[in-house]
Amino acid sequence: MKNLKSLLAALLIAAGVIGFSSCDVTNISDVVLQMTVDFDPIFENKMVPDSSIDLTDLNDYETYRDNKDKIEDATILHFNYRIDEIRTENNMHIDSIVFESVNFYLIPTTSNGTRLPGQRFKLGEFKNLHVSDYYKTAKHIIEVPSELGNLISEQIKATPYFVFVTEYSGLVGENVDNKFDHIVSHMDMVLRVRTK
Amino acid sequence: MKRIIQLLIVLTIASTLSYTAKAEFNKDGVLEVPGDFNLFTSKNLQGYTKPLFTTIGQGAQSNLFTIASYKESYSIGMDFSLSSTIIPGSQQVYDAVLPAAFGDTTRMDNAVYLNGKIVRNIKGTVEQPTIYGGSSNAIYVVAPVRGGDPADSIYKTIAFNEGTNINTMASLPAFQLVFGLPTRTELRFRYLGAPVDDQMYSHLAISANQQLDHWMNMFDEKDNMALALNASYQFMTLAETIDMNSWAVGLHFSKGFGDGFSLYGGLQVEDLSGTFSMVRQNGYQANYYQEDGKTLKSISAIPQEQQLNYAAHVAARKHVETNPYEEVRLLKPLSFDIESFTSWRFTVGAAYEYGIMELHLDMGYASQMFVNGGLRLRFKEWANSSTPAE
Repeated sequence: MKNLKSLLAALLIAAGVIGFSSCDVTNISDVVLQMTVDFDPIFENKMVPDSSIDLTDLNDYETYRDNKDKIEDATILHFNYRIDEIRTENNMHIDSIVFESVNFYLIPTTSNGTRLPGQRFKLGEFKNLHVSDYYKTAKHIIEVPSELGNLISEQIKATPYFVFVTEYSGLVGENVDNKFDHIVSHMDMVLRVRTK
Repeated sequence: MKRIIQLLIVLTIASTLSYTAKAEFNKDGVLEVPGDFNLFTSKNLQGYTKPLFTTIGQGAQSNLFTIASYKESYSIGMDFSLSSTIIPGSQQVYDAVLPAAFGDTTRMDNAVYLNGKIVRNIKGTVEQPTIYGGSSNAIYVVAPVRGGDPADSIYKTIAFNEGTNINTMASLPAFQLVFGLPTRTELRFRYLGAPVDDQMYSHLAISANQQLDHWMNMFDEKDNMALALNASYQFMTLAETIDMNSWAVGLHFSKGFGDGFSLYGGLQVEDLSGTFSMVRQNGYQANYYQEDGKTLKSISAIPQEQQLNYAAHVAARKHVETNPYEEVRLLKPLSFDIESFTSWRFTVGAAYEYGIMELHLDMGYASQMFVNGGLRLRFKEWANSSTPAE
């Protein structure tokens, strides 16, 4: 009987230890935020193929400013691209403007805009982009692969400055108007920021 | 944000030992939260934190009883117990309320990336993770749409807080003083105090267990079975920020098998309610707004000690004037009713008595499955005649 008592006591203790050691109390102090970063590159008086760029300083964002000293890691999750205004030199109709492709790159820079060597991340692309389908609509979202999105994790702790590059190809078709007075576009990018 | 989470952790794992958490209270004694909370409205913060309050409430109403057989004697003892819960998938998401114009395609276009698919023009609510959940889903917005009202430009892409991917969570440790009465009654008291900044978090609980079966001669004494009623009332306060209370009523039954080993089980009804009130950075409480709920009262109508904040409040509103939620644009307080998913629970457990010690472990079914365990020590026991029984 004494052995049975010892066994029961041991079972109770073991069950308790297993039950309580599985708790994730410490994890709840990890705060995971999502922040949106927006870019408004303007492509002005240029021929395609060419690029537009927009420099962003994450210090402009309150969420980043409040948490930058505590960031454990950061990931780009996805981004959305749209065109707000577009006009070719000869005012082509919007339905006729089709880019062979539009590519998106993120390049970390120093505070004065100097690009960091060897750091150029292609975030995604749209092929055969019909401008009319991208005009003031929220539906074009590109999910950034996690292995790529995670690459900026260390970078964000080192520099909060980024250039977002939109690379426009030539237009589809013949006798098209390759010179643009302007292309006003907008990108919203969602970052996941984990703080400790 | 982190400070607030820390505060909630204090509430969750506050021990009887001294524990200090950092938080900032305004001159009215209301917790002031940082700008990270501009991602939340009161309603959405209620949904985000409801599972955590469920854990707190369940923990508070755990370890109220073990064996239903109470001796006809006076006794003094203590019980130290821990509690752990398993968070179900249903409590890892909540329905976040969207800004009013969402879904109105004459004013805006929106899209959300959900499980690899793009869903357009959502309105009303969207599923987002609770504090225990996983990834959240940002909503991309274009407004105004072609030729729309420029005022609709306040509807911008919005992101939501993520969860912490937690499946199991410890709840309140319970240190209880236990008193036995010769009426086969047991009284339990617990008090948890934790200083938070210059305020004090207090949790006071009283519970009573009353054996019933002997009044109705329900069981033969040799069967070593007992039935008892248990009831508990608790309240938790923190300055002007937390005011919650909880009650529970139930029946529990036990059967002994000799040599100190017993099995027990119980069915319990319980509730947690109260209010959680915070102000946004440089914000004011609701009673500083005029009747329309939007316009701040004049500076002279505000208590003198809060007048210094007036200019900062007006300036802070500028920073949030494009937030799609009106509550945030007006820097209105974050205040909501505390709720719990749990309204009843079924418990089954085992206890082993040896000398003055009782080791107990139970588990059960409630909105969050749980495991409780602890150690009870009965220091002294007197028979009804006031003579020490052992």
